[in-house]
Order: sequence, then C-alpha cells, then structure tokens
Amino acid sequence: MSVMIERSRLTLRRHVETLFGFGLLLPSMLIFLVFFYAPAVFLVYISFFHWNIFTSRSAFVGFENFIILIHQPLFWQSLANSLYYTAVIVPSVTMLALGLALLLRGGIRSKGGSAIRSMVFLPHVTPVVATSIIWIWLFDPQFGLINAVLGFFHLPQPGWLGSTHWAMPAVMIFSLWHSLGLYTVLFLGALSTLPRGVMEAAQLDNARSWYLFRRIIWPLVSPVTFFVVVLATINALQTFSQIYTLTGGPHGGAGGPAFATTTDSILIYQTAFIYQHFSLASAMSLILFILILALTLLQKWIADRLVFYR
Amino acid sequence: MDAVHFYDVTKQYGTQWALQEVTFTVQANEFLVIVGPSGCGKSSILRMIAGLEQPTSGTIQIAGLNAKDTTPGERKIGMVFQNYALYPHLTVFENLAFPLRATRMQKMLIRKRVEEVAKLLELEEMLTKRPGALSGGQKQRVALGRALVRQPDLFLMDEPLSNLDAVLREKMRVDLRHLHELSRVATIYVTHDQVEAMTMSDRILVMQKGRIEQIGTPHEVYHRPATLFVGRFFGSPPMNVLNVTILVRSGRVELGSINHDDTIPVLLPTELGIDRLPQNGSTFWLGFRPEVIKVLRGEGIQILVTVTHLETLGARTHVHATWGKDALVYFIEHGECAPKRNERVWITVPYEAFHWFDEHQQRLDIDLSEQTHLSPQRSRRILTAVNGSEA
Amino acid sequence: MSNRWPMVIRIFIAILFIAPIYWTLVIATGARGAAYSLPPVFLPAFHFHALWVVLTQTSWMRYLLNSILITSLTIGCVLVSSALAGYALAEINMPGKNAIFYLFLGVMMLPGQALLVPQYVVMFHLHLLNSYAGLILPFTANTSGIFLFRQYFMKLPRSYREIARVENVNSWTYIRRVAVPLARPAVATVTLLTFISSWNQFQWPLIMTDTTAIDPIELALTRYMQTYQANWRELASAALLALVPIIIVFLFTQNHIVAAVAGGEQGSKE
Repeated sequence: MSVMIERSRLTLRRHVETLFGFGLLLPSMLIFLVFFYAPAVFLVYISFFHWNIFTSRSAFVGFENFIILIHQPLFWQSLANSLYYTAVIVPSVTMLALGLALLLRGGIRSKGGSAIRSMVFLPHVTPVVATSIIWIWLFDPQFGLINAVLGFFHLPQPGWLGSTHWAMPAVMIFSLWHSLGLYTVLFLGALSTLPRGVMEAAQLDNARSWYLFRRIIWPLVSPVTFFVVVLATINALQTFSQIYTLTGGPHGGAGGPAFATTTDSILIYQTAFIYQHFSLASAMSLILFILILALTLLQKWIADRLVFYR
Repeated sequence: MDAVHFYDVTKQYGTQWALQEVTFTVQANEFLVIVGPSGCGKSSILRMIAGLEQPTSGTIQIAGLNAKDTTPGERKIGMVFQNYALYPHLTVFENLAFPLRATRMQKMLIRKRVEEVAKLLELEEMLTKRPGALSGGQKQRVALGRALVRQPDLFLMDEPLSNLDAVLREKMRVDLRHLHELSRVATIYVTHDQVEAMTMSDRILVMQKGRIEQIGTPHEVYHRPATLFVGRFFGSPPMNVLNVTILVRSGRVELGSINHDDTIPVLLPTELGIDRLPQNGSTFWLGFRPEVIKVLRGEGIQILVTVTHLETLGARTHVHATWGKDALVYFIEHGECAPKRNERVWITVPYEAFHWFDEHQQRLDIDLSEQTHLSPQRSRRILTAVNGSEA
Repeated sequence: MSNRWPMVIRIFIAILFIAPIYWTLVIATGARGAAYSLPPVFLPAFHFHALWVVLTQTSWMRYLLNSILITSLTIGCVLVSSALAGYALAEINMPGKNAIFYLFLGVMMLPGQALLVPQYVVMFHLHLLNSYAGLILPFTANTSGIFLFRQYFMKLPRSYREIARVENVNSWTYIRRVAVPLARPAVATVTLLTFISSWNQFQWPLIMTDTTAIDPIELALTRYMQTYQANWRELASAALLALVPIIIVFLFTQNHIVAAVAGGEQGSKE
C-alpha cells in the first residue's frame, strides 16, 4: 500500500513538470497551429472546393479549380515569370555574394573593413517599399540616374520598368541590391572559418588562385553555398513586395507591362484579393507550395552528392 | 534518528552500473566522507541524497522519511557544488540571499541572516561584489555560505576543495571541520583525495566501481583495511604490496612471488606458524606500509631488496627498491645511513605489520606475532584461514 | 588573393550599395523639379519644404505611431513566448518534447507566400481583419527566437538549476531571476531581429487590412505613392522618413545584427 503511495507521489511530480513544460510551450504552439498549420491544412481543403469565404458555403468540386487554372494563359505566364526570375536570381546572387565575400575578406576585421561590410548589408535591413521608391526614379527612362550613367558611356538606355523586356531585369537588379548583403555576410562567415594557413599559403602564388578556389575554398564553403542556394530559391519564388511596388501595384497595375512581372505570388494576390476568386487563388497557392517543397528537396538531393562536410 | 540511510540501492545509467547494492547509514551528527577514484559512484550517491537523481532500485531514507516522498527542496539540504554554482549576475549578498527569497521570510530577517553568515565566513567586505571578481577561495566560501544560510539539516559537499591550490586547501580543511563542530549538522562530503578523507571525517566510506569497499573510522581504514584497494588507497606513498604464494621447500616455509623466482624465507617463532598461513596453493596478497619497514633490526620477515633510487625529502628519505620484479618503498630518517643505488639491503617487516589479503583481495585476519594465545575463537579463525577463505 | 584588391574597389562597392539611399536624401531635399533635371543631381540641397509637408499635412505621425505600437507589442510578445518555449525545450524533461521540437522546425519549412490565402480565411473567421491584433498576433511566436533562447539556456551550467532545486526555488522563479537575466544576449538578438522584420512588414498588412487608420509605415508609403504620383520630392521625403528610424537603429547595432543574422541563419539550419 505504501509502495503504491510512494510511486504515485513521484509520478505526480513528473506530471506536474510535464504540465508546466506544456504551459511554457503553449503560447508558441498555439500561434503556430492557428496561424500556420491550420492554414496549411485549409489550403488543401479550399483548393478542392468552390468556397465562398464570407458565407462559408462550399461545394466540393474536385480538381475543377486546377483545370480552370491550366486553361489560363496568365497562369502559365506567371509560372514562367517566377521560374525566369528564380533561374536568374539564384545563380547570380550566389556567385556575386561569394565573389564579394572573397573580395571584402581582407581586412574585414578592421574598422574600415567592418564599416564596408555594414554598408553592403544595410540594404537588406531596409524596408522594400521605402527603397523601391527611389529605385523607381533611378530606373526612370528619361530622368533616372541609371540611364544617365549609361548614356554617359554611350550605352543603350532601356525602358526599364515601362518596357516589357526590361521590367523583370529591373526588378532583378533591385533584388540583387537588396539581398546581396545577407548572402555576402553568410559567405564571409564561412570564409572566416577557413584555416588561415591555407589562405596565406595560397596567396604566395597568385597564378594559381583559380586552382586555390576550386580545390580548396569551394569544398570548404559548399555547405554554406548550399544553404545560400536553398534560401535564395525559397525567397525568389516568394518575392512579392518589390514587384508590387516597382511595377505599379499602388496604382492597381502590379504585374508590369503586359504582365511581364506577374509572378506566382503577384497573381495569387490579384486573384484572391482584387478579383476575390479565393478558390482559384488557393489552388495556385497549393501549386506554389508543392513547387517550393519539391525544389527544396531536389536541391537537397543534389547537395548530398556535391556538398563536402568537414 | 539517523540522518541518511541507504538500503540496497542500485543505480543504472542505460547499460552501465553506477552503484550496486549500496547499503550504509549516516548518523545524526557525523561528518562522513565518501572517497574513491573517479567513476566509483560517489557523486551518484550524493545526487540521489539531494534528490537530483532517483535510484534504479533500493530505498533511501532521509531523516526517517522515504526519499521518494520528498522533493529536493523539501529535504532541507545545503549543497556545495564543485564549481560553486554561483549566479554571475548577482552580487555576493544576493547570491547568499537567493535561497531565502524563495521563502516568505521578511527582508529584515533575510538581511540579518545573510550578514551573520557573511561574518562567519569572513565575507563582509565582498557582499557587493560579483562572483566574477572573487578568487577561488572566496567563491568557495560564498558557495558554503549559500548552503549555510538556510540552516539545513544536512550538508552535501561535492569535491568543494578540488579547484583550490594546496595551501588554501589545507586551510579550508581545518575551517570546514571547525564549522562542522560548531553546527553539529550531519555532513556528507565527497572527494577523491585521501588526505581530506583522513583528516576531516568521523567515518570514511570507501568506494570503487559502484561498490562499497569499506566503512570505518580513519583509524580503521588505515590500520585494518578490508580490501587491498582500501589498503593501497590510503597512505602516501601507498602500501607496498606483494602477490605471493606459499612454498614449502626442504622443510622450510617460503613465500614465493607470482612475478619472479625470488622467495622470502618465513621464519616463525612458534610451531603454529605454518598452520596460520593459507596453504591450499592459492595466491594471496601481502601488504605492508613503508613506515613499518626497518633496516636490519627487529623481529619479523626479512626481505633482500635491491635499491633503485632515492628521493630526499628533507626530514626523511624515500628509498625505492625492488624485490625481484616487485617494487617497494621504505623510509630512512634523517641522520641514518642512506644506501646507495644497486646496493642490496636486508629489510625487516614486523609480523604484526603485515596485512594479508586473499586472492579476491579481501582481508584475512592472520596474526603471526608471538604474543598471541590460542583462544578458541582464534583457533577457529586459524582453521578458516588455513582453508583459505575469509571475508 | 583577397589582400591584393585595393581598398578603392572595396570602397566603390560599398558606395554602390549605399547609393540609392543617398539619392533618396538627394531627391527629398532637392529643389523643386530636381528629379527631372538632366544630368541628374548629385548633391543634396537643403530644401526641407517637402519633408515638412509630409510631416505635417499627411497623417505620417499616425502611421509612425502605428508602426511603433505594432512593433513594440510584437517584440514584447515574441520575447516572452520564445524565452519560455526555449527554456522548456532546453531544460524540462517531458514526453513529446521531441515532437514539439520538430513541430517548431516544421513551421520554418512552410512557404509563407503560399499560405496567405488560407491565412486570410482564418483571420476572417477569427474577426482579426482590420485590427491591430491581426497585425501583431500571428507574429508573436518566432522559431528562430525559440531556438536562440534554447541554445542559450542549454549553455547554462546544470548546477545553476540544480542548486535552485535543492534550495526549493520553483521553476518559474528560476526562469525569471536566473535563466532569462543570464540570457541577455539572446534577448538583445531576438529584439533586434524582431524589430527589423516587424518594422518592415508590408504584404501582411496590405492583405489583412483595408482601412488606412491602422496602417504601419510601409503600407502607408504605398498609399502615398497613389497620392503623390509624380511628386518626387514628397515621395522621396516620405521614403526617407520611413528609412530614418531603421537606419539609426542599424547604425548603433550593426555588428550585433550582422553577427546575429549570419549566426542565426546558420544555427537554425542545423
């Protein structure tokens, strides 16, 4: 009898501890469940229904939403735009960031060096909308600084945000400016963990810098490179704010001239919140969801073959 | 009432046994030192008393109450950790007051209690400093004060002096013992240092690999070690030990080493001599401390050794020698004639100074000195000794 | 290889990154019509008229206050929820701890953009649209915050908690008086990171509100773009005003932020 009492006092205490732990975790868990996991479940649900958000009346329609989408040329264009954007941005940002990191590496610890690093990083902490405003001016075909500089060197001056061919590149340039800082800092961090002896020995003979890079630096930074690529891809596929602002969103025209910059996320936004077609938008979101997950897994699979972990 | 009682306690971590069938009692006011090499389970015992861990099986009672019924906080224990566990962001005063703030004590009372303890431990000038600004010895005293401030019924100390330098350690040994005498609170003190065990304890609990080797007073563990391990643990330099067996050659009894061919002739003054030694062919261990060895004089077993080197320590010289392949140490006092290297010397070990251990390294009570009478109990013991088994 | 590149090139690159912000200042303080001049202006003049107009004749103060309110409440809640959750993950032994750990990890894997539509649905049903709560609540839990605190708490010596247990100090008191004060760097980092993401929020309020009263600054800016269509001075002034707070914060905390972002991103990807 007393043995039973002993045991139950001990387990009682353990139960109390478990409850306490749950209490500590509860706020975070609730938020995640309500605002992230529940919507994820709903996403699947809504995509297969014809859903009236406001009355919650719904009708199961199976794949009808997806079929409608497939027949929309704009849907395919948005997909193409997203992939175009991602396919250009991700390699560019990775290589440029790595290059910048290698460039800025020397003297990074000095006051001047860290000031430069801060300046490169600054755009990343700035809000996209506020900075997009000046970029709109910079890209102005007649009065903008960029075309003025190009003209100074007798180079062609494209129409940038107003042109169907150059709108997307303009957005890309902005994105590069905004996000390079982050990736550069990540690479700088990785480079700083390289054994100094290796770097210094290699600097003695600069004819072999390419060799140095390929054989020594590259394998050692490949984990971070992989991380950067994955991160950049996920971010690229979800870019919204700068496209919205730069290509006329506030004026209702987000998506650029002839839908040149209408990406997945822009189209989803317009479909759902301007045209109020929630089910269609939901189906698109589901496709985007799967696309991102698939790409990430694919990249991980590739990386397992290429990445060299110490 | 006993302070602590362990009954048949075992502790397992995964597949490793930390404690096996440990049973002992700590009496109400005593200073018990638990001593042993790393990994022997002494810290596990302490942590189980504190309630930070639970035994795998067995019962622990603290002040008569089963440990399963109480949380660590309810046991009124003051604990001192090896790394002091002082909160770096609080001042010394706040560290000392921390345990009291959890209770509903009034601020005035808390302040008074903290100041008393600070005075006792000479910490008054440091009350406003942070642990980072203190020396090792000062931190140690603050940790001690933190344990004292609750006026606990039991003190637990886990190697509190091991991070201090030798001089400070000596001083603290005296201070801790003095503190115990003032407070008369049961204290369980864990260490790997045999000097601390010998100098500070009322009783010593010697442990090895999760088992109790011996519990006894310092005198008992030193002069009557229950196992070879205990014998070698105490004493510096450690007890000399020979692994031998009995040989009877042409009518003479000799002790032969397991390791080499040399033998020691055993000359016994009484006809009962042979019968007192284990003769069933088993090996046994012979231990004798360096300080009992005499050169060329006295009654006892005589061994021819070869000197290998000398260590001069001022008042005394340690002579390292070998008997065959076995190493021995003995002492030469200042003023006596010191042997030279490679010299062969006859040393004498008095009969009563030998510690005999059977092949399982357990103590055998054999007394070869001639001043013994054969009482009935003694003859019974000799018979069992002759049969080679003694617990 | 790296030391041979002259400082000049590095400075040039740094200038390239700063340039757009600099030109915001230039246009904002330029003479009327400066934006249209050819060749373009390079130096800021000191006409503060446009700035003055924006400050006084628009509801800029209101939007600034909105942002301050939203951001500070978000930071407060994130600190509490992350510290508690981080402590639980680090110190408390309970069944299901691993499952919850992976639950938290899983949230990071969800693509935010794809969830906006269903999130809108949820917000609608919870009556959180067009409310401050709707702009704050979903952001009051943050996985990187949780993991940051967890890392920090795991580094504390076990004996700190153990001695408190022996001294009959309960967990809640321990968290308040020992664990969190000792995790001050984590508090600073989480505050900074949350500040940046909260201050810069744009798409969420865009979708979840349609009245202008509670707009935070970024969203308000896009409204300005509608109002001031081609008034570059006013637009640039508004942009500048939105940029200044975060630039100031960055100036004072740059090293910390850089370290936190670089370390935090890598750490969370373990």
